[in-house]
Order: sequence, then structure tokens, then C-alpha cells
Amino acid sequence: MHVATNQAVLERLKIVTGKTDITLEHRLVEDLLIDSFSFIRIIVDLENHLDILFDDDDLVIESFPSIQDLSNYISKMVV
Amino acid sequence: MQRFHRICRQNEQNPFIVEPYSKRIMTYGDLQAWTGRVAGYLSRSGVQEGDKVMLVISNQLEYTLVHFALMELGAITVTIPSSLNREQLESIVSTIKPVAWITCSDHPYRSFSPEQWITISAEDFAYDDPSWSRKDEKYRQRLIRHNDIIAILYTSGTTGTPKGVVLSYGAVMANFLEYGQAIGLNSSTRIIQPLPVEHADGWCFSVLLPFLFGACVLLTPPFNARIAATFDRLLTEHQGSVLVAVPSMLRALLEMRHRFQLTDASNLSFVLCSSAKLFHQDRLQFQTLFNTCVLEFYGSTEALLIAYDKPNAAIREGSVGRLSPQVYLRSEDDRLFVHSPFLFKGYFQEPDKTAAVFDGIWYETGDIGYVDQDGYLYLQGRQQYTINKAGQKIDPSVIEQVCRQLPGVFDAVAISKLNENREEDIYIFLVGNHFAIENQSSINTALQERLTAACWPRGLQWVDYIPLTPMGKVDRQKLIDSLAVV
Repeated sequence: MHVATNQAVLERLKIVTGKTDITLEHRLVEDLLIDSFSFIRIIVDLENHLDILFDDDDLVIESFPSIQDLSNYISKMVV
Repeated sequence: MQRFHRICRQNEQNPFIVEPYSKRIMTYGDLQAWTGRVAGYLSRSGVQEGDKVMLVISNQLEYTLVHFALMELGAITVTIPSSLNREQLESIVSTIKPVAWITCSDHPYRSFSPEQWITISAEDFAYDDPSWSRKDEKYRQRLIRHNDIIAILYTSGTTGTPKGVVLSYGAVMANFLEYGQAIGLNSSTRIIQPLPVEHADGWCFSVLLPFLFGACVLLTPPFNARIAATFDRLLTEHQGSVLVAVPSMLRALLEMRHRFQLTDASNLSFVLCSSAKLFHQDRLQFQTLFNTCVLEFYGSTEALLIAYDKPNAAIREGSVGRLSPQVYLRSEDDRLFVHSPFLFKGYFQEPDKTAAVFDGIWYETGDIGYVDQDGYLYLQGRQQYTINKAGQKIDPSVIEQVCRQLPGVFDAVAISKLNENREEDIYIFLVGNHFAIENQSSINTALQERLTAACWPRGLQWVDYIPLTPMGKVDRQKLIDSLAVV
């Protein structure tokens, strides 16, 4: 399940960011230069396509330093 | 400050600042009591009339509280953007020579003059009457005069070095009294304010403008995903009736619509939107979703308000509103100059930069546009970003609007760059999905069909995102700089 989530999150981020060479280790802010408005677009896309809902209090970019952190968070929801 | 005490007494039990996420509330009665205590504390800490004080508090009620306390003392509040680099900060500090820095938490700028930092927490002043005695609150209360300087607001400096805009009490009051009356602010108004307080619009809607009308401010942290996702609760639980926003925030809220549970309890009377081009489609979608009305206003830190829409008055598509009745405007080669009682006093200790835009009567806004016969103002872009193609002036937003209507394109920004023949070439930065990126030829074809030849780009560049300033404005300079290294 975890592997599947990793794959799904990576796929969605590739589509939203338009980058094809991203990995789980990439950091959202430092590597992908995601700002607060781009972060909103990512959240909306993940919620709509993975049928999940982030907890309101977790909706700060600092909660997810890397794509792996984002995927780990989603894994807990889809288990 | 007689007016201050009168308004506080009239609205004593009413909330002035509400922090919806931390649940803290400061009523008008609290403001009156706490302001006196904070002013006394600052006075004993050495702050005097005419002193300049750096206020480095983000969107928290302490910002408003300390600002009033400094006015009570006759001191000058200096606000600076949170995104300055060290060189910019050093330049400001050496110019301003502040007597103190006031914050309410740890702050990245704290390495500057650490001995001058004062930490303020509202809770320290919210006592009934324990250990502090009245004598501790004594200070020399100051009568503010029309020409007194109450604030120096530093601009972000995205297009150069930051400049300190000097604002007088009389200009600010004249401006806020007119605008607040025009849009009908009153003690039942609850303003959702997610703009950074250090930005001019955030400053206006967090301190004096709502205060003069006894309104309540729902002061949120600067706009982020959490605020966007819970926006419906600001309307239902907190009864927000007015939203202050920039267009990129409205787009973000539209994207978050799947989360919202809008009920009859939500009553967003209107949205006050400024600072960037508002696309007609975004306006219509937002108005439909929230059953509200988006009103534009236009101004600058230097000129404050210039034109605005009013509730229940005709709105004209493409216009940023009607000219204020107190504003005179003239246009030279489409460049807009304004004269009004709201104008700034100049850039702090920058006579050359001041003279370049302000002759003491007329201020050049840096925008281009025109006014129709009924007084509605239409902007055609920033002077510095207008594209000049063989003498033909092109507003980049015309190109951007066409791009944003193409399938799979989320966002677009058009800029120009001089080529080897000293002519301007157009480049378009696009954000889109895989479908759009892989079908670039159809994008090119569509642009050629929908734009006049003068608007055709020399290059299209797909980017992950459009860089924005902390306020949510497009950072065009960053895009122009990125072209230089392509």
C-alpha cells in the first residue's frame, strides 16, 4: 500500500508541477520551489484525485518538508 | 487621540480584533485599556514623541495594539517587509535609526541591535488590576495634528531598493473616512483580513480604517492553504461579512471549493480586491459561488486610495472603479498622475527618488490608463511592464487572459525583453498540465488565431509556477531575470 501511495503521489506531483524528474526525496520548498499558492494547488489535486482530506491543522507547507513526508501522511489516511 | 477614546467608549463591548484560529479577542474596551498600559510601558522603555520604532509583528492583535500605543505617544511606526535580504535591511536601519524594535516572538531580524528589542504580549497587559498601579500607566499623551507623521511603510523592493513611504495623520484620516463611508463600514461589519499587515492594504484594514467605524477585524495569519481550506468557517462560525483580498487569493479559494459547506448562515456582503489584475472570469465565478459582489479598489502606498467600486453601484467590466471625488487625475501619454489630500509626504530621506515621482502636487503612479466620461478608471498595465512592440503599446494582461482560456493552461504571464536589435520581444510564461505541455503546437496555433500579430510571442516557456511576491502579486522582475539566464 505504501509503495502504491508513493507512486500515486509522485504521479500527481509530476502532473501538477509539470516536472517529470522528481523523486520522493525532493524537498517541496528548497528543491521544487513550491510557494504557498502552488501548495494549495497540490493539496487540491491530491484531495480530488486520491479521495482524501487533509486535516485542517496540517495544511501548512512546513508540515511536509519533502514529497516522502507528504506520501507518508497520505499513507496513514488510505490504510 | 480624543477621537480614539470616544470611539473606544462607543464600542466598548464590541470586538475589534478577533484572531479566528487562536481564538484571541480584543474588544474596543480592551484596546482602550491596553493601549494606555502599553504606551506607559514603551514610554518607560525610552520611546518618546517623534521617535521611529520598527514594528515587526506579523498578523497578530499585538500589531494593532502597539500601533495605537505608538500613536498615543506621538512616535512613528515603521513597518518593513518580511522578505528583505540583509543588505536591504542594513540600508533601512542605517537610514531610519530606530530607537526600538517591537516584536511579540522570536524574529529572524533580531540579530540587528538586539539590545533595542522589546517583546510585547497582549496577555501581559490584560489584567484587571493586579501588581500594576495607575502610575505605571502614566506617560505624556500626545495630541496628533494633521501634518504629523504616523507611519513609514517600506515597500517590498521587488523592483529595486525598498523605499520608506511617509504617511501623515491627516492624509490617512481623510482617505479612510471617505472610503469607509463609501463602502458602508459600521459596527456590524466583520472584515476578514488575510493580507500581511506590513503591506499597505493589510495595514489599512488592520488598524485605523476599521477602527474609525467601530468595525470588527477577523485577523488571520497571512493567507495560506489552511485559511483557504477553512474559509467557509470564517463566513459561518465567525460571520465574516467583508473579505479583503488580492486576485490570486480568490483563485485559490475557488480551487478549494470542494471543501466548503456554505449555508444560509454565510453572508459575505462583498469582497474588496486590489493590487493586481482581476480577471473577469474569476470575478464571476467567485461572485456566483459565494453569492457576493467583488469590488475593486485601486491605489498605492504613496497615494492611498485613487478609485474604487461601491456596493450597490454600477460596476463596469475592466474598470478598477470610479475616481474618488477628492482625487484629481491627469493623463500624459496615458501615464497617470494624481493630486489628492491623501498623498504621501515623500520617501524617507530619499529626495531624489521622491522628486522623480512627486513634485509636491502631482504624484506619478507608474500606471498607465484612462478615465471614461463617467469617471471610471481603466488601467492598461504598469508603465514599466507595458510591452512596446514597434511603437504599439500592449497591455500584457490582454495576452495573459487569452492564454488562461486555453485548455490545460492554469496561469500565464507575458513579459517583454529587448532583442539584439533593441526591439521588444514577447515571452509568455505558462503553467499547465501535461496535456497542454505536450500539445504546444496547438497552443501556438490558438494564440495566432486569437491574438493580433503584434502580440504573438517569440517564446513560450513552461514553468512549475508563477513566482509571486509575499502579497500574491506576480513577481515579473523574477521572470525577466530568469530570461536573462535562459
